[in-house]
Amino acid sequence: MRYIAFAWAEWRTRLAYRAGTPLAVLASVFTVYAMQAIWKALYHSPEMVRVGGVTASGAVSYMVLTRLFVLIMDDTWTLRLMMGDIRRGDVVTKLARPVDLQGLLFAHTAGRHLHTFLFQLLPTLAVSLLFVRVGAPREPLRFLVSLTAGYVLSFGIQFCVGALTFFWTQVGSFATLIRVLGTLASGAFVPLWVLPRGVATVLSLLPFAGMYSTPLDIYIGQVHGPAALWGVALQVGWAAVLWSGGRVLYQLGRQRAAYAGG
Amino acid sequence: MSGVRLWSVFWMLVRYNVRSSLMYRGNFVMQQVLTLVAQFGQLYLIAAVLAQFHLIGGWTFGDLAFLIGLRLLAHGIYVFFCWMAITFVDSDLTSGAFIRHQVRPIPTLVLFLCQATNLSGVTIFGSGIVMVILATATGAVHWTLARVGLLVPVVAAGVIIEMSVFLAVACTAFWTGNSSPLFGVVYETLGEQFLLYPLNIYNLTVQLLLTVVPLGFISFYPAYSFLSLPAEPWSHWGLYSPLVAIAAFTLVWWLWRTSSGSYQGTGS
Repeated sequence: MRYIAFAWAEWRTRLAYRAGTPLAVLASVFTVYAMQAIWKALYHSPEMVRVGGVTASGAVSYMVLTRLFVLIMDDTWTLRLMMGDIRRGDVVTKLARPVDLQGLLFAHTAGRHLHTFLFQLLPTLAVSLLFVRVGAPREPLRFLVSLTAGYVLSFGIQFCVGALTFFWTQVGSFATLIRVLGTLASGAFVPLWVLPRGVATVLSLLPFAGMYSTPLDIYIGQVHGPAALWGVALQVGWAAVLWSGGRVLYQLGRQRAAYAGG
Repeated sequence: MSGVRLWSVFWMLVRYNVRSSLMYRGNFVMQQVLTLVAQFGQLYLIAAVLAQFHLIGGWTFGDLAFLIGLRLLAHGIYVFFCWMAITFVDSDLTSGAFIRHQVRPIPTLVLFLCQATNLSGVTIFGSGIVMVILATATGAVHWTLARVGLLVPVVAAGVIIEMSVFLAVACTAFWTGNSSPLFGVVYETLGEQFLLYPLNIYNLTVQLLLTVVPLGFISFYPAYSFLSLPAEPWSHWGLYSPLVAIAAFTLVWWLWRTSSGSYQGTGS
């Protein structure tokens, strides 16, 4: 219940800063437009009916949804908050509260993203549907489970890197690293099914694929049945590893911070 | 202040900024490596896409490598000199820090742009050179003396156009206090997404938008002067890039003087 209150508080904070929302929606609509134009141009040739087993409409749906989910998955707010708070020492006010830091930050992040979902993602989707067709999900339930696992996984990656600030104050490079991998190795920039088989296989085993590639491949029906189950299991496994890893790093870092005087 | 004196102050400030950037060497090296990984990772993915689809809007992989290379050459110089300052504008204005530029006997624009440099610009510029070499190796570009001579003014024009466009966006912060949402539209979508691919794959509205907001003159239009692409009505527009750059900078200079002149600090 306390965590819901934290999420609600963050939601209300975000509501106070609405001025930039229309321009943010405009930016997202432009991006969606660019994506569908690029992928329609790629499939323009008559012999390009299917690539990697995916039709033009499937590819456009995949890329359009990617640009929408980027609004949430690519938001490094949690990481930036942790880096700033730990470096400045402001984290002590959070550590002093009788709640778990990981749960607290997850609640804040979820509250922030609920605002993004309602006021940026949904309006962008509504406007985008005027010029692009997005197919319905092939397996809605599995897609939702996969998307949720991807969200927890994305938070887990950021929390792990953020917790490293307890050990090194200059973790900007790690932040850039996860940003680069989160874009290039996740299927957000180019779907993994376009890549050579060996490269795609390696990338699909990394946690970054769980953020976009796995849920969206399930959405467009590129993977289904046992392959979809395996993909979701891998996501859940990575989410558990990252959540636990983040907790261990945080506990060790907290001891270190206390040893240094807080 | 004379032009020569201004120029020496400019370079002195740049040198100080470079030295301060090199203080955290480990972080600096890591950032440069990651910039390279990001640039070439992106190019690899585009190559993988074109290995499947062969063409996009009639452009081959070599053509695209040149398009991206041309953009990175200009973008690298822009990032080195201007990127940090332009992204600081909101905090400079809301914190009142901008007022320090107004009490010094040097044009505010020069001081504003010289407050920080980003060494990643050098790596981006280097990536641009490698991509132009790659495009040449694929046979997309055949260098002649005239083309070599054209490259320098085209890249210089690209830098000035990029700086002018983003400085114009930064100027909105003087009136609204927050330029970041508009910056998101212009940089992340128009600059990053659209310019990565040839503009002829987009509809007429977007083509017009990127011609009026002259980002198309950074790489797309000039690329026709270097590549062996089918003739289009806009094939020679790239030759006018330097003129477009002068017009854009004149406009933004006036806009900057008008906007910054009205700034009165935070009162604290």
